[in-house]
Amino acid sequence: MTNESDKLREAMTKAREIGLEVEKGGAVILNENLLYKKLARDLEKMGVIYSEIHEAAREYPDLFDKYAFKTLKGDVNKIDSGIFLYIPKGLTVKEPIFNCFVLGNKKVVQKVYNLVVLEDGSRAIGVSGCFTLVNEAVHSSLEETYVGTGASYTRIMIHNWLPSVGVSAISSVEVGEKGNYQDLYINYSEAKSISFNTMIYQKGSDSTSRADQIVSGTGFSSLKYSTEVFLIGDRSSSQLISRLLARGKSSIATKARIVASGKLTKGHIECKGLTLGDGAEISTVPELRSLSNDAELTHEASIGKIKREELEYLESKGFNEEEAVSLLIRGFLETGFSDLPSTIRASVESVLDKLSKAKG
Amino acid sequence: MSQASLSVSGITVEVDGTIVVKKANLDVRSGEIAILMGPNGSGKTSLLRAIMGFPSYKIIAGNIYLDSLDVTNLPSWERAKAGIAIANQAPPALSLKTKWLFQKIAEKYGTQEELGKVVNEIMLQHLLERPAFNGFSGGEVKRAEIATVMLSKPKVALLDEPDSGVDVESTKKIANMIDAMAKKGVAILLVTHAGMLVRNLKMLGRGYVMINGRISQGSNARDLLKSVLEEGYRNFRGSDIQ
Ligand SMILES: Nc1ncnc2c1ncn2[C@@H]1O[C@H](COP(=O)(O)OP(=O)(O)O)[C@@H](O)[C@H]1O
Ligand SMILES: [Mg+2]
Repeated sequence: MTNESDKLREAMTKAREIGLEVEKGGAVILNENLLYKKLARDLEKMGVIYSEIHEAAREYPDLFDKYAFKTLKGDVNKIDSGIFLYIPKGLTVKEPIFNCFVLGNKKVVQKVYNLVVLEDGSRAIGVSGCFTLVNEAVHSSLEETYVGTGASYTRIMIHNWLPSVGVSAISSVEVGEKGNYQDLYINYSEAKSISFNTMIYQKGSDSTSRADQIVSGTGFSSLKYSTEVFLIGDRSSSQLISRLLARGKSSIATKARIVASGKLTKGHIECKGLTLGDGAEISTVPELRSLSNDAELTHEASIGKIKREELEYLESKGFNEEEAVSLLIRGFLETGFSDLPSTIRASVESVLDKLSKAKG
Repeated sequence: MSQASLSVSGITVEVDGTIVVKKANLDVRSGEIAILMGPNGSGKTSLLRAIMGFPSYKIIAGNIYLDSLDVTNLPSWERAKAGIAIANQAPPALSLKTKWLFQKIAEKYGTQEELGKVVNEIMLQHLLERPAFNGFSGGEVKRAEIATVMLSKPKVALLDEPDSGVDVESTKKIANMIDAMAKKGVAILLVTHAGMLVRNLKMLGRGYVMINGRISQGSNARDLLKSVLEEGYRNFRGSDIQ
């Protein structure tokens, strides 16, 4: 057991390093088990549920049956652990809730299922940090998110895995009328492989979503992302934005797809890739599909290298090559994701600073 | 060694296999504003960029001194740190927010406290959140470049047409800033075509003319400007060229 509590302490320290203040409200799932959980008392009183997923299935069977495994296939009995977060009607939770998923032993295969429900008119911010204390382990996760009528959910996810870790994740999001879903994903790990699929179903009219993806590949990583948005409700809109930075011999492949079937929908895909070094590879496939005659769908994509003129310009202002490169990378990584509370903004920026300085 | 802050001694500059500056000599003292005039394509920008140390402007002969330091073989960032700064005629669009560019330069040269003042004085507030030089108007580009020079507190400032495309009010402001730099002892080499900026300057010194990559000295800056504005460069085509 002491071993486990040592690992938990190590995990909390590592979480803090990437700005996840679990002690202020959050949970740590280490290997197969939830080992730490904290939620402010007053939030519990106001009806927020924050519990381990099996516990949630037992204690809130009605809610669980209503929401769990509706858009994704799965069986809670085959899951190791996970988080159920439930925000009741009309409640705004200002403080972010930090969830950490940690691989602490070799050969561990961590199977996670998370369920996030925002009832009508509620607001919350969830921050997930996924990282490893050891090499040679696997993280596999399913996540379902429901954003009710007029509700708003911001999810920030930071991946920070070690080189011989494999990750597979599927996330499905449903957004109701006038609902808003914001997603910021950052990968700065050296994971051997990541495969991450996200589906956003905007069933409600006037719903909005924005998903920003900042992916850095180093070493021999092979990273695959697919993001699909279904604009089903009338006047629903979405933006998918990505910055892909491939160093070393890494390869990054992304697909972004918007399917518009509602009336007067709007969708935009913006993808920019930057390769550093000769062995790195990026491929990106944007797809727009309109099933309605009044959808407004656009995409822009570009892949390039650091431009010599930009580098020379910064050098002439006194920055050596290394400094100039990291400044330009930092600029490149900026997506303009603005909906961040100041507490998280600082940690996101420090992660991006580290990312731009790291070598691959 | 020369008394000048900037001393260019017989430099020849090659770009892409072509000689664009030939055996140029030029001195700028601390606190002096020297102007460099010349027709389009005569090599003024090439000379300035070679002094700054841009790698594509190869110095194949001659030397550049900053005070008594020979900077000829230093990379541009070391020249910058030693005290040379350039306001480029046409800086590239950067994938970097203007605010960050300014902040990082200010951090580098310890001028964080002046940042707000410089930004206000040159009216750049509205550009801070935009990527630097992306879709800036002609005048905005010039003002932002001047700001980078002010923030790097140089000993020598190379200003490449800081007034082209700039409106009357801003030109006066830029003139005041250039004068203020000169008063603090900065040696300024100013490339310009028009009279308005120069007429607003008080700290004028020498005037140089460049034609076909060669420099000739034309008395003082004010006389040079008058002669060029009245008669163009035909007086400089003959024997004046070294
Ligand atoms: N990067 C370059 N590649 C090729 N030729 C160049 C380059 N830069 C300048 N030149 C040439 O050098 C000459 C001088 O140009 P420039 O120094 O820009 O003149 P000015 O600033 O006096 O107008 C011109 O003929 C120009 O075309
Ligand atoms: Mg020029």
